[in-house]
Amino acid sequence: MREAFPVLVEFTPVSGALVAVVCSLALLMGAWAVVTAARDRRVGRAHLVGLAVVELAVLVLLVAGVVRLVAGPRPEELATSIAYLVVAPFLLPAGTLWTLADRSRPSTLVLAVACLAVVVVAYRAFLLFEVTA
Amino acid sequence: MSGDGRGDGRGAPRRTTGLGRVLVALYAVFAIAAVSRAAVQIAERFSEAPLAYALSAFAGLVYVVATLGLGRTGPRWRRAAWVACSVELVGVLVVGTLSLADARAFPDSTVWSGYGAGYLFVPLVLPVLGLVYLRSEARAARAGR
Repeated sequence: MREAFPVLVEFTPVSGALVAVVCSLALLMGAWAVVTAARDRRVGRAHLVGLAVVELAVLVLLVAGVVRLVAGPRPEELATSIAYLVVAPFLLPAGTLWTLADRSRPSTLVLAVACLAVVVVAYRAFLLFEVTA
Repeated sequence: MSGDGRGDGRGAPRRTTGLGRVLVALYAVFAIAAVSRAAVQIAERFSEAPLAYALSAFAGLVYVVATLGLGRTGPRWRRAAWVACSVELVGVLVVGTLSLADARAFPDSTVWSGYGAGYLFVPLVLPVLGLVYLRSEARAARAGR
């Protein structure tokens, strides 16, 4: 599938670097949520700012994906790739709303689940965009 | 992870609280993933691997039932969750074994192929966690906490 590193000339808005940034931010945020739950703290404004930063990175990825779909070579699994892009921005808002709706201790872990889902979606989208028709 | 966060003694809430909520979140992610994957597969190329894709759709349905069953409270939802988690565990074990034993029957993978290896084995762990949670909840209820 990915024998060589993508050549620089190649048109890759959904780059490995961008996906790595999104995944790292989401992992950090997820770890923060776990620590928060472990220390029995509640989700506060700082968490929301952190989530907003991760969401911003996800939106950049979404834009990159759309640019690639419009201008670049189509990924082989077109429908699946689009589905990943559509789902991605909703993961964190859904998890956040859910966490805030029930402010119990384990509820904070829902944020970690949402962040992990972002990591998986971003990484899978990256793989999908690597395989072109 | 401690199990003392379950419930907060506010009578009987309509939605699951505490640790169960995390489980529901995980199930919700899998329900969405499995259903959308099956939808794409069936819409695009059902004839290529009808068995695998029909199985994907079935797995998606089971995840939806499990999500609802765990997310809502009440005996009916709980029974639905029991059934869904059990079916899921049997499904992932049977399909996992078959996909390894007879690869030709499954030309394209499903969520349950290789015991859910393509999904970090979460499909294998999830029903076990679900059943453990349901059992501990039933025990707590019987103890009349």
